[in-house]
Amino acid sequence: MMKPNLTDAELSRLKQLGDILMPAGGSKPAFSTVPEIDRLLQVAAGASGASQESLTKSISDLPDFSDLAGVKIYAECVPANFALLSRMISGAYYMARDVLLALNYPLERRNPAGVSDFADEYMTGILDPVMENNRGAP
Amino acid sequence: MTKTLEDVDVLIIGAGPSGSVAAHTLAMAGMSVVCLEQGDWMSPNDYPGNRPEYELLQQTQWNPNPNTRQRPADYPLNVSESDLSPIMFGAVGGSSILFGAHWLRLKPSDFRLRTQDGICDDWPISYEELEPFYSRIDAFLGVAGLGGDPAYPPQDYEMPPHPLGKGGVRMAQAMNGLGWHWWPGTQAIPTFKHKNLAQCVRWGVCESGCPAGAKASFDLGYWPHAVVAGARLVTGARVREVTVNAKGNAEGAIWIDRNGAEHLQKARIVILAANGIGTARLLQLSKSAAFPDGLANGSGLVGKNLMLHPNTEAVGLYDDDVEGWRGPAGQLMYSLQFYETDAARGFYRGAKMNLMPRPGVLSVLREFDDLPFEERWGQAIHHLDRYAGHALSWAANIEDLPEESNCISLDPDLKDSDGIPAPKVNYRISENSWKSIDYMLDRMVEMHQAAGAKHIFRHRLWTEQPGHLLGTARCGNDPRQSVVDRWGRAHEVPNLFIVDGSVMVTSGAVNPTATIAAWALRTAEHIIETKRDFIG
Repeated sequence: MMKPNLTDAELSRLKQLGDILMPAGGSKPAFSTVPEIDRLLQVAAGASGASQESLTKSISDLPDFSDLAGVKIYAECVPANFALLSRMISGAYYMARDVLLALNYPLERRNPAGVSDFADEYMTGILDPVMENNRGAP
Repeated sequence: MTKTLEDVDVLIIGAGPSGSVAAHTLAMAGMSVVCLEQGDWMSPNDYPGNRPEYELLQQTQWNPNPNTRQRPADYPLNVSESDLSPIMFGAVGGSSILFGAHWLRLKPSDFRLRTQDGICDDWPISYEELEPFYSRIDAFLGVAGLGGDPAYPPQDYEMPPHPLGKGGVRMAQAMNGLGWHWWPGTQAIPTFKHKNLAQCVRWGVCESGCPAGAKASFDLGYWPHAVVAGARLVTGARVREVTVNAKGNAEGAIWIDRNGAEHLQKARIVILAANGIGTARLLQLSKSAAFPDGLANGSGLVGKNLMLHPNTEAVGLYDDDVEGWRGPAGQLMYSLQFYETDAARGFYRGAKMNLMPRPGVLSVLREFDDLPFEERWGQAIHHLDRYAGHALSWAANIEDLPEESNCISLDPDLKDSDGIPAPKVNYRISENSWKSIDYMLDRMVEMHQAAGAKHIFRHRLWTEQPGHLLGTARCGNDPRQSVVDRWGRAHEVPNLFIVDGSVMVTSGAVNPTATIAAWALRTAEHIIETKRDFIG
């Protein structure tokens, strides 16, 4: 299956929806102001599992929203479409560097264990109660 | 027209854990070995876990459910009459591509339920017979763990366990407060570089393939060594039938290549290693005048007694950072506190529980999907996403008792991409298992409470887990009550062996791959010891 590609108009519709679902809050940006959000939405669309045709239709069926109450009505009326689009929007948002930084999420996810990491934990005696009481023995 | 290929000593069907161990062992002994695998080689570069969009891919192209994923190498499953959708993966390495590499042995009691608890049947072998094979597989793969667990007979590992981390230490203290058993996770993920396996970088995405090449999935842990030893692996080869000769011996297998051409691979010994669903399916597909009910099915038990290990889960969200993004996943720890039968609980047997991290943001947010809309989206989301990295998951792997009504059969309508009938899964969770599920779920909630979780979510049943496919061609001494003998040899077909999880008489409650690999090694060495019976 070819990866879907979103048009500028489709990106605009998704950003409008995204700003309602994910407005600015705390140190996190509003959805449409996330740097590179267009690219992240394209990545999310490609990973959504949806075909170009179904994605185009889902976005073109979106009504104009002005607030969360309107989106709620839409989600209740077309739950499958909402699930797909909200998953893409969430996926794009939480790929963004600024958002992950605001969550104190590690951007460099490689973190191999140090040679003595487990030994240091073990030396605190944390396992002593398990062994002293012979826990788990049949 | 079917093209007949040159005879070999051994034909193995399926290149997952058991097939790879058998292939390596037999090739090392100088036997000519061909293995047929319907999938392809995977590359760590294929896996989604180190891409920003990995959580989305895990729900779609990398979904563990073959019916959702729909890769060409997967075959479909009819699960319309099943409480669970079994997961599997068609590739070199088989479902170990997606396993969490939780690596535990069965306990001695698991081999003697009839004797100990008065239920089911005893295995024809004991823990002590399998123990040396467990130890050798552990050493070969570089299994990481800590010896001395009082829940087991003595065992040890060459590789130290992975650190518990913030979340593990917190839960360990809570378990100590409760007075319950726990032990650092044992896993087929070497802590440090081992042979061709890289050091684990703790991405925590083990269950969609390890992008670092650090998990001992069997495409990495065994196959390179098997190929060097001389085993020949044919990918894109979908077997549709095991053929028999006039004497009723296995003759070989007919397989279909990616272009639709049929081949007959003859062999003096045939080994089935296609998992607890695929092997039963193949035996049922292999009907002949000598075996009208399917190959080696004189007992009528082929496909029956399917055991799937229902899983139940309690997710805890913590105010403090528990570094829930840090892997491996993998298990930070396990508990066998509730493993054995306790009559006071009102059900037989128990569960193994494992604590796992929750690396992704989306997976944490999904816990809030049942909130009212206004509390899930808009400004509210900023109060929810702060739990990303603050989540820990306890899951219980419930011992599933064998029942003949839980079974695999050939679906009359559903076919795979080569037109071969697909399996139908009939599986209902028993009253005993439901009691165990509810009991274990309550205990896991108590564990989170003891650790100070702010929110606890109960998931009574994972419907798309696990990949533990067991019991459908059980071993035993009595040909009327079992399909294969204590060595994995089919009672009715002396040159046909089974090495996957279908041979298991009972399921235990631990993840089964360690047992499957140990069984495969033991069977392969038995074949070597008795090869003059087949090869002259």
